[in-house]
Amino acid sequence: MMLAVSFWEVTEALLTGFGNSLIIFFFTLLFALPLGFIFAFGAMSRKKWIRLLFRGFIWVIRGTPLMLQVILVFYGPGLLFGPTFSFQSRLAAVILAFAINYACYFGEIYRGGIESIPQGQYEAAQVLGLNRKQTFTTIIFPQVVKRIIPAMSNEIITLIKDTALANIIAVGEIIMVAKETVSINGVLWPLFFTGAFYLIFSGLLTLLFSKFEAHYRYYRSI
Amino acid sequence: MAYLEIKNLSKKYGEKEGIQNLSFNLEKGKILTVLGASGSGKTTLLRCLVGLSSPDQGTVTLEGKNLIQVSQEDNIFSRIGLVFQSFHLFPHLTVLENVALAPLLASQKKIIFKQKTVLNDDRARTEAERLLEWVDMSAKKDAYPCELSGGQQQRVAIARALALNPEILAFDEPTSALDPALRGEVTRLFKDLKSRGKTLIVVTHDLDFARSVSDDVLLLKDGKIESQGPASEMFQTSIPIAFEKNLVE
Repeated sequence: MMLAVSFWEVTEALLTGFGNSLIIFFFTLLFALPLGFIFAFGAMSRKKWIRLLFRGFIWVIRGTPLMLQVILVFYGPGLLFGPTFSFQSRLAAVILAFAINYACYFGEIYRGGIESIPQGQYEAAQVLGLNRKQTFTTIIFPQVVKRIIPAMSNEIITLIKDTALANIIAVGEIIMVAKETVSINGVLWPLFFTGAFYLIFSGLLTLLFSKFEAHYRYYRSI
Repeated sequence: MAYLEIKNLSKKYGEKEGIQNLSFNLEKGKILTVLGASGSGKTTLLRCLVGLSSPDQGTVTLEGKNLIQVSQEDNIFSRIGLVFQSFHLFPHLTVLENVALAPLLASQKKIIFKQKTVLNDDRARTEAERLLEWVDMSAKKDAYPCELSGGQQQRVAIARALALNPEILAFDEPTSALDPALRGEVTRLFKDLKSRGKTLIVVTHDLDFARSVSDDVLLLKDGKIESQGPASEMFQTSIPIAFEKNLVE
């Protein structure tokens, strides 16, 4: 049976859900973007055991579903160490799992970017007397940023869609809210409306990354 | 005491000998060309001289100071500059920024280059502009390396290497990435550098170019010195024989 539900009621509910999706999205970026550097440098370490440790960890995280990781992070501590170690906030558990997962992907993108810079750039910096920090911040990093924008934009657009996985531990993100609206009211259109939220947000992200790419178009690699 | 003295310089790459017990001297203000076939150790020698590779043994002494043991404060890079075969300009920096970068960082200025940054260190900027004027690249100071021809990139690379005012300037195959028509221009540039008191070490395959610029010649074979001497003598005797034996190309 179809129940009457107003457009504004649905919009309000979906906005609340999408608010949670955005919280997951922004906090994941906040933690994963810098954490990715630790994974990238760990995976490139000159010390073999550090390199193997980081590459092994990245392999496990990239090789298993994010949904499984969310479940494990939320239920794992409580089941392993007792209820005092349980997550008080489901959202915090989701953000932790997402941050670790995305840091691994970002780390691999950073590593690819850093390793794609020709050796000659490092050598030119070295003969000019630049130290390692100066070489990285002034020469390598600005070139890496330009090279990784397309791959990063892909990952970040995937992230907003992946936030839907939070509903596996009952975090009220937009899809969960939409599902509830559909099942309570017996109408289908809120699902399409939900799709529009994602489309608009990913469209904005696409525009933002196009701006970044255009900003870095002022030079070409030689 | 020789100006630049290289003694027993050796470098191995795994089992492969790069250079073995090279010893030679160079006087101030001279142009030394290092000739030899591919794999003869020319580039390894150059890399050891500028500090890109650590020699397994031997000394490089400039005015009595062993450059291999110098401290960070008086580092090797400010004494011997290098212009790479493919220049290795920094593509995200303008011509002016490429040239001014090393002096700016050496003076411990905290800088982050952004798009179309205007350098605000007057001394570094003026010095970089002076060097660019000298290599006839002032008109392109705000261009990016991708907008330059090979010859223009080389001139910027020379200006960049000179920015730290090195006493010796080393060149790896300076004519190989250039149109043959530009060879005369490089020859003129080298003679100009020499007239300004710079000492040059040039690794090259290009015999005609070597003949036109060299004061001294070092001929390498399998990482060892095959022969050495003043260019006038070497091009009369040793080089023609080496050419027949395929020791130079």
